[in-house]
Amino acid sequence: MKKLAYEQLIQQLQPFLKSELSAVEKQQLDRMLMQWNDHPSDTESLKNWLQAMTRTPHANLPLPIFKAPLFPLGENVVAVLFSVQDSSRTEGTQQLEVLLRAYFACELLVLELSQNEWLLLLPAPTMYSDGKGMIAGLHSILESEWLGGVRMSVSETFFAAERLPDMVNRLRQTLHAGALFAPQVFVYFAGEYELELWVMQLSEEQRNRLPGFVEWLQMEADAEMVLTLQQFLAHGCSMSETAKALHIHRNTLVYRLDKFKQDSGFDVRTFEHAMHVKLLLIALKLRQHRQLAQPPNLQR
Amino acid sequence: MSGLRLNHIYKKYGENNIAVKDFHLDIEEKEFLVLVGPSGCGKSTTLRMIAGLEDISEGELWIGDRLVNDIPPKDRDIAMVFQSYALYPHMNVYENMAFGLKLRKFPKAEIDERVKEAARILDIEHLLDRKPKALSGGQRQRVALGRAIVRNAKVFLMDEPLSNLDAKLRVQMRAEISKLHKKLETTVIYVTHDQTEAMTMGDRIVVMKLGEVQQADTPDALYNNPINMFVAGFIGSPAMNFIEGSLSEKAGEVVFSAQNMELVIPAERAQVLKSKGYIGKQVSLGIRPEDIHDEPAFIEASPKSLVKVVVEVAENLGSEMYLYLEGIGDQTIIARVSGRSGIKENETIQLALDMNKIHMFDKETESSIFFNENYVSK
Repeated sequence: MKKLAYEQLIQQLQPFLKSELSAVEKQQLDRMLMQWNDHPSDTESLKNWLQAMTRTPHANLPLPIFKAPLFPLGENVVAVLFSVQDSSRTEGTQQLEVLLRAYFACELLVLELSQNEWLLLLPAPTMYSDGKGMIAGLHSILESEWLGGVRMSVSETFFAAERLPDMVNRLRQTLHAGALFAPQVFVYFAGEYELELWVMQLSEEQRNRLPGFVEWLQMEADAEMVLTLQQFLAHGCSMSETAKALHIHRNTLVYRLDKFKQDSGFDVRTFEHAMHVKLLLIALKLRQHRQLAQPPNLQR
Repeated sequence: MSGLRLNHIYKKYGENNIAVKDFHLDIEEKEFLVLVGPSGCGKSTTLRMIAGLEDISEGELWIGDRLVNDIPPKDRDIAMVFQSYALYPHMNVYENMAFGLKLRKFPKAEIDERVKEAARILDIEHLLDRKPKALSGGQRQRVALGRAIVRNAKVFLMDEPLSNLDAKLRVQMRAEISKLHKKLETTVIYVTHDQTEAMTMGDRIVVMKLGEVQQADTPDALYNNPINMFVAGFIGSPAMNFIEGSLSEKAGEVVFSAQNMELVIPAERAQVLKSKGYIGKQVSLGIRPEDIHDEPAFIEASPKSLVKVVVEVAENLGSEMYLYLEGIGDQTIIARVSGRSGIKENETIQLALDMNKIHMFDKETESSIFFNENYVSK
């Protein structure tokens, strides 16, 4: 914001004032103007508030006072969190904003939360038709035009003024879980990794108490068997879909699942055992990635 | 010079999760290379490392004579085409193709020239004013290709670009992409999970499984000289049949025995089995559906490779018929015979295997016993 010279402002205000300002009033006005001019922009204020709210567990800071109504706060929005491994490879926040505005052609807000992390807030109606398709397209656009490997997590619709910090935390957790459990997928939708997040919140001791055979799975099951189980669970325990995804004959899949049942006692063709094995596979993966196992912030 | 060298490349996520393991390959300038394999095999990760969208954990990537491991994607002279089209919904086709160049501050006249040239190559000049929602899936994919073409890149990377199209359009577009490759004379690296796409488009195909290259060769070599059971089963549709059994020597001949069948191995191949010490061992025999015959003349000439089977299902496609057969080993075997053969379901029939076309695999390692390192593609 341009700094207004005090004298110029007084001159502009003079016709509207009933009388000359007293010396004390002039001083007060002067102080207000100084504060106003030093005050960060509304976007900057929102970003600072958001960072304070999301970094400190149980923080309860009031929303800053904005100079003008700020776009997302009074609306239902969808939030998208972008994360890059190496921001020096990207084209920077300004170009990100240009691309996002060109892609969505609507009012939106982009906040650079950190060197490698950006938050996009969009009006909810933007995403009503083919939301997942639009997000997949956006991801491809960013990777080809913004020129960097990007991971994204996407929220459901929420009322920004009430849930923004919570949602940012949730998106960070989703992104973390997604990158850990599905590193070859790059767009993660909030709600799709709840089971993984639940297991991640358990202590190592609690995880070890999951009844079953994490040890056995780690020691005995080969990569092919683990992939078979993962694909079987990812395809809703459908034999035909799993066989198709793995490019194996259905009989080969039957043979592998039978062998797994024989070795482990778990028949993943039953719902109960399938859920059990799903939890154990998550726990196994966490054990394999101990250094990545703690999400950045589990406060809700 | 726009060939690539992937020199013992690894991609690791964490300590134990290796997505790509020791990928080592030279890609020729102007080659159309296809990476193919099932879900989770590491093909897209490899492509993303080439694009610079993923860091390389170990190894070297050379594009031409430049080591590009630490070069940002924008400076690698590559263009990428994605499955999801990547079009700006609110811009028309012209603007979509021009936008990337505008961002890079190209002169207006050059942008116009490049966009019109790409539109001419792709035969979409009449669509330049339309917005993406007014285009069919195939037209949208052409525009996506156009966005890559205008960059004049030396290497095109395509990640399952036809996956969103229906089967008929996919067939049409794969022919168009092949033609485009010939016109543009660029290096193309193309990722797909569809072996038919790989076989019809690639000069060379890299088959991957669990992050490792299984075999990199021409479509002909992969089909006729697969290195192991995985490649043999992955390439070809319907897939190769596998029958488990054992090898023995009877009256001076090498015999493959399985449930309800005994087949005599031709002398030349028998010699290979003997010299490699497979007599008395369990093996898997592989035979392609088209190498199982029902013609009377072939049956008469092949008395030592006959099998009696029950036709479980007969699918008549007109020119050819797929027979799903019971009675050999414990798996269903598929044979491809003439559509005019007149074979009916539930019939018991006699068929002959072309023993000169069989494959044989080690039971433990699953590697091909007859694999020929000096195989020359036709």
